[in-house]
Formats: sequence, C-alpha cells, structure tokens
Amino acid sequence: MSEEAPGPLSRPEGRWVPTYPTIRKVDYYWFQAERGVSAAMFLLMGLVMFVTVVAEVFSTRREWTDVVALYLVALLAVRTRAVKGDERKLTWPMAIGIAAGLTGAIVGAVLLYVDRYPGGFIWAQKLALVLMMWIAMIGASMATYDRSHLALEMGEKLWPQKALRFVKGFAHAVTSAFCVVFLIFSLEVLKHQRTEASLIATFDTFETWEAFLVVPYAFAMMALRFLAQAWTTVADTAEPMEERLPT
Amino acid sequence: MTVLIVIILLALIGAPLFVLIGSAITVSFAAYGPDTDTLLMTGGRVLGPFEKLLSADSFLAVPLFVGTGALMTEGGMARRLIDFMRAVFGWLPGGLGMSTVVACMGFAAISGSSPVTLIAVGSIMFPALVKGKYPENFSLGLVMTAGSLGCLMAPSLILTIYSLSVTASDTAAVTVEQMWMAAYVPAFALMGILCIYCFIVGLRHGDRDTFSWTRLKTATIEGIWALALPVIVLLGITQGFFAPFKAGAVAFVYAFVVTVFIHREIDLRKLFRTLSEAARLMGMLILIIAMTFSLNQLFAELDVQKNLVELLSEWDLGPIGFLILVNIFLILIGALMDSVSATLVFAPILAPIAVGHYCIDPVHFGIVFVVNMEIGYLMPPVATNLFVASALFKKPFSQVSRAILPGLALTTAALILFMFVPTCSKALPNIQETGDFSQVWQSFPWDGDEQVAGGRCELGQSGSGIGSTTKGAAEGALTSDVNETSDEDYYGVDDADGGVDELDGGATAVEVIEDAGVGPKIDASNIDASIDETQL
Repeated sequence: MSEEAPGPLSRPEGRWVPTYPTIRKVDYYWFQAERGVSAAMFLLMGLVMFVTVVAEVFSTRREWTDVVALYLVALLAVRTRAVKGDERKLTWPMAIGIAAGLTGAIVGAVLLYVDRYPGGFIWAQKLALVLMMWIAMIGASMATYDRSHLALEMGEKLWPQKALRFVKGFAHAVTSAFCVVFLIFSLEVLKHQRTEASLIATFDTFETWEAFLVVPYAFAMMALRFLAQAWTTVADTAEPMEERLPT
Repeated sequence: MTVLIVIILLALIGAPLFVLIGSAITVSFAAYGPDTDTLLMTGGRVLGPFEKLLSADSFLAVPLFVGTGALMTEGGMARRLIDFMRAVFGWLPGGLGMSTVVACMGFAAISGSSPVTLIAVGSIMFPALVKGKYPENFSLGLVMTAGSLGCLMAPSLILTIYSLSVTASDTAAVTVEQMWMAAYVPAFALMGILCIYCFIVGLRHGDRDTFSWTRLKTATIEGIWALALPVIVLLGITQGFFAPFKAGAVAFVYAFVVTVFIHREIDLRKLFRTLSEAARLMGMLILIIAMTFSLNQLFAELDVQKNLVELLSEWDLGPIGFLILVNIFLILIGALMDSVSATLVFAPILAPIAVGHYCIDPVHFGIVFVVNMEIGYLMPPVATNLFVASALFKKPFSQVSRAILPGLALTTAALILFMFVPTCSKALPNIQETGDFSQVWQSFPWDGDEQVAGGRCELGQSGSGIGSTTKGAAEGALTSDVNETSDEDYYGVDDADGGVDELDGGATAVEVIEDAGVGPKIDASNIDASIDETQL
C-alpha cells in the first residue's frame, strides 16, 4: 500500500522518454487532486459513521463503568504513546493527570452531543453512503491512472511478446469504448433523475442526481485515461511501471 | 452464444474484469432482457445497482474495514504482532513457524485481506525463517498458506462480501455477523493444523528462541492495541452495541487514533496517502461489485438458477455429490479468477441451490464457499498469494508453485473436514442463537435432518433466491414509498427489483407479506430493521 504513484515525468529505468509532457503533467496533478479528495472523504465517512454509533450507544446509556473503562484506556494510551526523538516518556503522575483530562473532555463532548442531538443525525448514514459512492468512483478513476484494475491475466500470457503491446493497446481501446458507453448510460440516468428530482431517503438536502454525479465523472475520466494508455501502449511510449502487488 | 464469444474475446486480450462482466451484461440485456427498448431503459437496468448502493447501509462495512486494514498495515501493526507471537511461541520446536502462522491470523483479523497479510507478515517472517535454518521451500509455503488465513478471520473482506452477495436470497441469506462467527472454528482449526505441521518440521530443522518474561512483557505492551481490535469488534457486535457494518466505523476510528496518536507512525501526509490507496482499492472493487449485482439480476430474469437446478436434478446428485462438484468447480474458478469477483458472481447462484435444493445450511455452505476461495488464493495458475510471494521474495513462479503443495494439501484436507462436518462452522452460531451448549451439533442433510423431504428439499418451498416474491415485494414496497416513483416510471419497466406489480399501488411491506399468506403476522419494525440488509 505504500507505493508512490509514478511522477509526471519520472524516468524509472531504461530509455523511456516521456511523450506529451504537458498532458502527462495535467493528468498527474489531476490524479493527486483525486487522491486528496478521496482521502478526505474517506476520513469524513469514517468519522460520520462513528458519530452515529456513539449517538446510538450513548443516547440512553449512562454507566459509571463506561467512564472508568474509558479512563483506563486513556491511561494506557498515554503510557504506551510512542516517544520520538529527544522526547521523554511521561511520568506516572503526569500520565494520570493527562488521562483524567482526556477522559473528562471525551465524556463531556459525548454528553453534549447526545443531549443536543438525541439519536444522532438522521442523515449521517446516508451521507456516509453518498461519500462511499464518491470515494469508490474516484478510486476507480485513480485505479485507471496507475493501471491497477483487476483483469484475467491468463489472456495476456497466450500472446507472443512481439504482439503483446498491440493486444494490450487494443484491450485499453476496448475498455475506453466500454467506458464511453457507460458514460452515455449514466448521463441518461442522470438526466432522468434530474427531471424526476427524486430525493435520497432521510437526506432530503441532497437529490439523487447529485450523489450520482460522480458516476459519469468516473466513466469519463476512465475513458480518457484508457484511450491515452491505448495510444501510448501501441506507440510503445507508455511509462514503464513496476508490477503492483495486490492490496 | 454471443455473450460467450464476447467474454472469451475480452478475456483473451486481458481486458479488465469490470469490462468483461459489464459487456456481458449489456449484450445480454440488449439481446435477451425484457424492456430495454431505449437507451434510458438499458442504462437504467445496467446501472441500477450503482444507485441502489445509495441505500445499501450494510455495504458500508467494506470501505470501512478496507480503510482500517490500510491504516493498521501502514501503522506498523505487523511488526508488533510478530514480536508478540515470537515472544509467546518462539521457544517451541517449530516456534518461529508457529509465530508466523499465529501472527498471520492476528494480522488477518485486523487487515481482513490475505495478500496484505502475506505482504505485511511474510516480508518480515520469510527472511527470519530462512535465517533461522528452516528449509526455504517450507518457509515460502508456510507464509503463503498462513497468509491465506485472512479469508477466514473476521472481519474478512471475503466473508463480508459473501454475506452481501447472498442478501437478496430468501433461503440462502446470511448476516455478516453469522459468517464472522461461523468462521472462527475453521480458522482456528486451520491455524492448529499449520502449527502442528510447523512443530513436526521444527523437530528436525530450525533454531529456537530462548523464552524471556521481560521480552514477553515488552512485546505485550507494544502489541496490545493490535491485539485488542478484533476483541473490540467482536464484543461490540455480540453484546449488541453496534451492527457489523457500524463496527467498521469503530474499527476505523480506533485504527486512526492508535496509528496517528499512540504509535505515531502515520503523519498527515502518510494518512492521506494510505486512505487514497484504500479508495483506489475500493474503486477496483466497486465496479466489479455493481456489475455483478446487475449480472445476478439478469440471471434471475433469465431463470438461470432454475435451469441449473433442473440440470442438477437430472444428474441426481445428493448433497455430497453436489458439494464435491461445487468444490471442484470453485477451486477451478478460484484458480482462474480473483476471489472477490468469484464470490460475487457465483455465490448468489450456488447458495440458493445448496440451501433450497439440497438442504445444506446457508452458513455452512458460506464457510465451505469461502474456504474454497482461500484455496483459490493458493492454486496455480492464477493464485494471488503465489504471485505476491513470487514478486515479494524474488523467487521463480515454478519454485513458489512447488513450495505451496504441502500447504495446499493441508488446506484441502481441512476443507473436506469442514465440508462433511457442518458442526465446524455451525457450532458457534448455534450456541449464539440458542444460548445452549447442547445445541452445538449440526447434522448434515444425509443423516435424517428433519428438513429433508424424500432425500432433498423441495425447491420453491421457501423461495428460489434472487428476486423472490415476499422479500422482493417488501423491498419494492419500501422503495416505491421512499423514492416516490415506481420502477415503471423510473426505468420504463414493470418490475426492475423483482417485486410484484401490485406494489405500485402503494401497498406497504407488511400488507404485501400478509397478503402473500406466508406465515404469521409480521411485526413491521422487524421488517424495517431487516430491510436495510436487503436493499441490494
């Protein structure tokens, strides 16, 4: 998971010289923007769902044992917190004090939240689902950039080495055409959703088409990227990429 | 025939899997599907599952656990777990091997993924095993086999996806919680088998560590946060604090806090990179998942399942014959296709037949299915773990393929045991459901289970799976109320969800089920609660 995506003009090995540097640069920065957006959405989705769980569990539950358990966990966290550089490990009295402060802050925040919004935000779960859709579809576009979509690789192994780049280029072109068809489908569906003005259940600030907007976006990006990959693969100017390990 | 040609051509050129499935669906809908006269109708039918994801609450478990796994992997959990396991087992004969196996189990429970487990634990333990004078092929085979245990340890991605893929079936539906619970005994049994294998090899080969209480104490303090995660998830679910998909959120925030604030191994930059990698993984999965839901809808409309049942009836297979056939088929499929895609495509077809036609318990069948997928990770030529090991350890594929043979044999032997002894998978769910330890035993259909009528179940007795009347009707009723528009209005078809036409009149889920005359009056609140799980 820790591999960095290739840079716009990186030259990992051999004699590869980047063609169309401006397009590659734009694509690279677009990819970086997608990474940032998807990561931020991922974090938000997790936190939104967590807040929902907190509301559900603690809206009716008031147990002292929970506070004690939280305090012990906080104390353990403070005591086992990694020490970096010239930092020093906290002494027991300091750890006890910080753990008490942390416990107080967390308990206070939870009580404030569940008292103010008993049962939590009704729309939170739906927001998480919308975020999931956006994360996954942007992720599909990102997977196209670094060529990591799952494929049956046995097909490739049947072709002679000389023909391989043409076969791969053809596969990319077919995939691009497929994405164009799905882009058209998704635009048709989107148009219909706009006309209907259907709302997402329990989340009526959002219309369905707004959540669905990411689907045509992803297919459009994938169509463009696969087309570019088809061209560079056939022309033998594709950037050499290391075989990715599955994640 | 056209569809088959399309699939073969695309497979031959190495097109992405989502293109392969999506093209087959589009061609099939256009050629055989009803109500696909306009672009909107075809598009609506093919892309329907994308929109339905917006109401599939339980699907949230997938990205949340994927994110958790990514954070824990990047946050140095593997190293801590390995240190702990070595401190516990390293002094025994074969102790280093045992540490590998148990660390893989522990890490798989956190990451939920077999290849990730192999990379995280294997990259540390394989060199350690070789350095500790264990035979190279043994070490290689062990890390690959132990890495595949990730399939069976909750919160495994495959277990979760299996549950999601059969949710629409009346007969074969199983909850994520049931699958997780059922997998514990097989997972620990496999772990035990591998540990015994290590012990036997360790009697003749390999160095042993010296036991030290100080080392154990340090390793325990370091590893406690990693060890606690599966416990928190499991206790939270079994004690009723949260549903399995919400456990994903708890695990995600836990992983975030531990790796960022306690272990401090993930800074802001690394956090964004890790989460964007998780998003990329979700992107690879989502297209295949949505496409296979469309495929299953198409299968239902084309009566594929019914035709398959008729074919099987002609062959007159009993439950044993059926399971053996399914195992051979799944191992072959697992050797050609990745496990997630294979689960999504074949579980919704095979599970309702196993349950409805052969009276095999749905949870038991689910576990057998997933163990097959685990073997798929190890079975050449398209074995994910073998490719990973070959690339990771820089070993030729032929050597990796030879090295896996003992592990493959052991896992297959375990599969046979799990297949014919349903108690292995049903013991814990039975205890959880009844609270009675005397209910541990689960009979197999051949030994006189009361469900069996004349040697086999009557198909259709309890519905035939995808799009069956009652549940499909309930979903349809709710969907039509929620969206304020019927399928006909929306996609230009009568019944895209597999529901019944009368629903467009606005009947509620409860009315429909009561009208269908299936069993006692139903509590509306239960339907509403369960409908979340069945939206797909």
